[in-house]
Amino acid sequence: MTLSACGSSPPPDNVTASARECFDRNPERNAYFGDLHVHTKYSLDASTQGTAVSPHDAYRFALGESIPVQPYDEAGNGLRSTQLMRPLDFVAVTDHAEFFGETEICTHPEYPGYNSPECQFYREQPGQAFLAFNAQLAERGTVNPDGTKTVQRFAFCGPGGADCREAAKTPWGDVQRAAEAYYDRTQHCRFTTFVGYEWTGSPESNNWHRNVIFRSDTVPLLPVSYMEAAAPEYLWRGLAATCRAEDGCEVLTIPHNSNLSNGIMFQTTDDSGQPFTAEFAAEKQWNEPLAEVMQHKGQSECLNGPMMPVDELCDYEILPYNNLAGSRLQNTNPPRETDFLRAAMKVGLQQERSIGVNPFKYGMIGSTDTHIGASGQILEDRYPGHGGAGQPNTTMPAGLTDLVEYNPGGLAVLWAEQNTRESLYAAMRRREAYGTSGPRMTVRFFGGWNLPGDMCGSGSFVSHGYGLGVPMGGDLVSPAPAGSKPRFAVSALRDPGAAGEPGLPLQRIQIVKGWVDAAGESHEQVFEVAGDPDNGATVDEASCATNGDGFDSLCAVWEDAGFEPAERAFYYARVVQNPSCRWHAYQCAALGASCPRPPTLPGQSDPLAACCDADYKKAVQERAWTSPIWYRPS
Amino acid sequence: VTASRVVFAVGGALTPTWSRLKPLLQRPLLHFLVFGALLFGFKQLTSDGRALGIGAEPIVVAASDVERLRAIWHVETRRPPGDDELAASIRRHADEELLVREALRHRLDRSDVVVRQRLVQNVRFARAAPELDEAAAFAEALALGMAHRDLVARRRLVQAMEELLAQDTRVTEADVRAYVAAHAGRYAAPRRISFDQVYLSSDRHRPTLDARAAALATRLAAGPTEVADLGDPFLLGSRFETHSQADLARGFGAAFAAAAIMAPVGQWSSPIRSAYGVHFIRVRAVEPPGAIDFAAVRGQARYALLEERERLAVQAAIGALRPAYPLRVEWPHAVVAQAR
Repeated sequence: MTLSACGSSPPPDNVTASARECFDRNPERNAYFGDLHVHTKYSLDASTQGTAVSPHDAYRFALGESIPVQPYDEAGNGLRSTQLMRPLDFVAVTDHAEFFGETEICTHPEYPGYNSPECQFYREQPGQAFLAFNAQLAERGTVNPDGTKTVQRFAFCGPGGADCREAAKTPWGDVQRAAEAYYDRTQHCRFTTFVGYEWTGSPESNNWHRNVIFRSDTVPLLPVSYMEAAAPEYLWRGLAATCRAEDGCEVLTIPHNSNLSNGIMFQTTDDSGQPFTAEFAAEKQWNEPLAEVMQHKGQSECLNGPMMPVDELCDYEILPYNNLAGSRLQNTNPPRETDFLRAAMKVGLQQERSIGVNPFKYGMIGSTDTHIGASGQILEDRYPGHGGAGQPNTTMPAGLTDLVEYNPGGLAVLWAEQNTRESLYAAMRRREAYGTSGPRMTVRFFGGWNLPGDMCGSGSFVSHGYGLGVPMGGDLVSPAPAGSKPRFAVSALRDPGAAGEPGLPLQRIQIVKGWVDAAGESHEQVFEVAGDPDNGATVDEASCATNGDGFDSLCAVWEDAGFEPAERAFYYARVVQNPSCRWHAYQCAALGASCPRPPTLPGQSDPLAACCDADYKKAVQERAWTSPIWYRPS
Repeated sequence: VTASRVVFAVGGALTPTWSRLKPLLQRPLLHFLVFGALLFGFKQLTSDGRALGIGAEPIVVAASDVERLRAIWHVETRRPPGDDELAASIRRHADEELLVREALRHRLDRSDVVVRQRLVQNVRFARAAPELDEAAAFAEALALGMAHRDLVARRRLVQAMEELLAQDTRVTEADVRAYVAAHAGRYAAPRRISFDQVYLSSDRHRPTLDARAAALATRLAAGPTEVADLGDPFLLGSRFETHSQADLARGFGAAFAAAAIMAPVGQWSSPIRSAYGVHFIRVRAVEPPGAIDFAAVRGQARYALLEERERLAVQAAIGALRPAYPLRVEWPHAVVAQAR
């Protein structure tokens, strides 16, 4: 009980914000675009032959610099290169901690941390999961002569992380070095890095993965991996013990690919099979303010279930299986509706109704999950493949650069005062964040009881939004004023584009509402609030030329006429672009793949068969998903 | 902790998982075949002396390896490799093998935690014995030469060997200064402008946008004292402080940013187009591009340079090791010559 309290309570607010004031500081906040899910050579599952791309390369790539791509000549120069059209504002390299092998630290006296309690424990019980964060270990300590007990400190990388960065090069130390090397600490605040890693739990190939993002360079000596912490709650408790706010360490974890979790990402029991308690739900909510809604291995927003009204926009980047083994083994199952965020958010409301705390209060971001270090490489028309985890290239059809069900992934967008770790991390914590499927549309979303109906035309959209309402990720003030219905103001700018990357107009904005009625039944509804779903915009699937007008900006103030003060609810906005080609449509067109495919010889497979697979539509509508705004009756 | 938890799974292809494979493992024939495959692989490797990583043995790139490298290239680029490109792929493959052999020579397979975990897991899987003693499983894996063949173990050995080869890399203060000077784009202060804007929305005025822009240009040229009502509201606002070209590109697009950053000071600009319509801006102040503040970027630059040097050190070390490992490429002949 003490432990879960330890994990669930916010750290004391004694970590002073950086005094640095950036040139781009904006009290009304700027939208920053980034990628919080990037793998490099330290993820040994990176599928390309000897991926040599380092965390340093991944950051330089995000800055807009060209990075080498294999093969390399004898002098080590890449024969190919790749470059981002537009730099990103922030990136976290998140290699799989399970491959770091950092316990080496415990066997070499010259490393810092050799004498730490973790390492002593490890040396006493080699081969055991040495950071087994049960109560016993956390309570391990020495009894003082006066009977009091001194609990031993877990080791961290020292203030500012210097101990680990300056020690001999290890993967975890190098990850920290790279993050330091490209973090702009001047007032120019051009680029922010985060020290992070991926906790890679996949029991029975069901995806439980989390990206672990640290607020500063003060981080644990050893990343808590699945080897030491075999369920999410052990990860959080491990982090609570090794990443302490009083040392300047803060951390959050971001689950991803719930679509491949086969029911475990949003189960409502803990690792021992007990239903969530309020304490557990609070611990979960505190540790996980965000979830990845979109990435290389599909979207996790919504899936049309048999009992639901059809939301045709859910039929987008759905992986046809429900776990990580799906692309390789036959005995997998179709995706399950309950593995998608919209369904989980509804369950979260039901949980809140029964236990008092919402365990699934997720803001939404996108990212790539690239395994070739190509941070933010989201362009459909020049998709190199992200070398999906564990996918040996040689089994892929020679025609396409990736499995047809995969996609280039998305971006994370954070509304922050300035481009610093402190400011961006605070945005993640308060969920003032949204995800896109790649394009850089700017989206504001506010909710409140008194938002003026003419906000869109007033020139004061943002000041009214903050002054009279709450931004995305927030909670409507409760109780609702008598007789009031909540209003939601949403405003979006299309992706402004860049050279070689023009961007497309918007088609429409929707607001998605989920709620739980008096009987505890959950519901959802999608409302069209701006733009025109029938604007006639199309894309030619053969040439990928786009036709028809759209909107350069869209704005609406929408009131929920069906609001009931007794029903808990969430609302999020979905901003939808005009149709464009999916990545495989560009490649199939370039390869001259005609449909139907000519028959193949016995024993041969057609590398372009995917080009004619009707399950993969060649036209898609790129989009943004905002974090929800919640309503809770008081 | 259950057996399935002990199995460390990433992705799935590299890592069999117990529950999914449990039914398979209960089938003795398959069981035999899996283990047999490991033994067969071992026999093949020992017969040409490669399993133990003895340096003097030539590195053989078989025809099947060349075909595999060609296929990988094709998948990644959607075109067949040219001869020089295939030769480089082969060189890269041979260098990886060289690093693995060096790692085995340094007995890194015995000391590395990741390799150990991986190999123990492999043997327990192959033997369908999740509780098999760790030390025994590891010894068996080493005896079978698994460290040399398992994909993850190989990559880890390469990584560990590269770390070893790079460990003495150092940089001096003068090196860092030179590096910073050579990367001015990354470290120097960019030009910044503070400005006001009047904006016309393309959505609102689509058919008449140009005419309205022309009319607005005339009005602005007359120097109105109040401009707030002359244009349309813009989500990003009308007053902007100390924006660099990169900041502008983020909000308005690259074309607008390039034009705006050089707009004249103290007067309304000519119309600047963006994806959102037409903008007139009046620059209030300019921060000229500045010199590099070395003290402020020194720490960052030192790590960036160190990584660059480490990469070069590894490359040089590989070059020095190549003569110890004769390379034999079995196919095709035209490529062999280039690969040497």
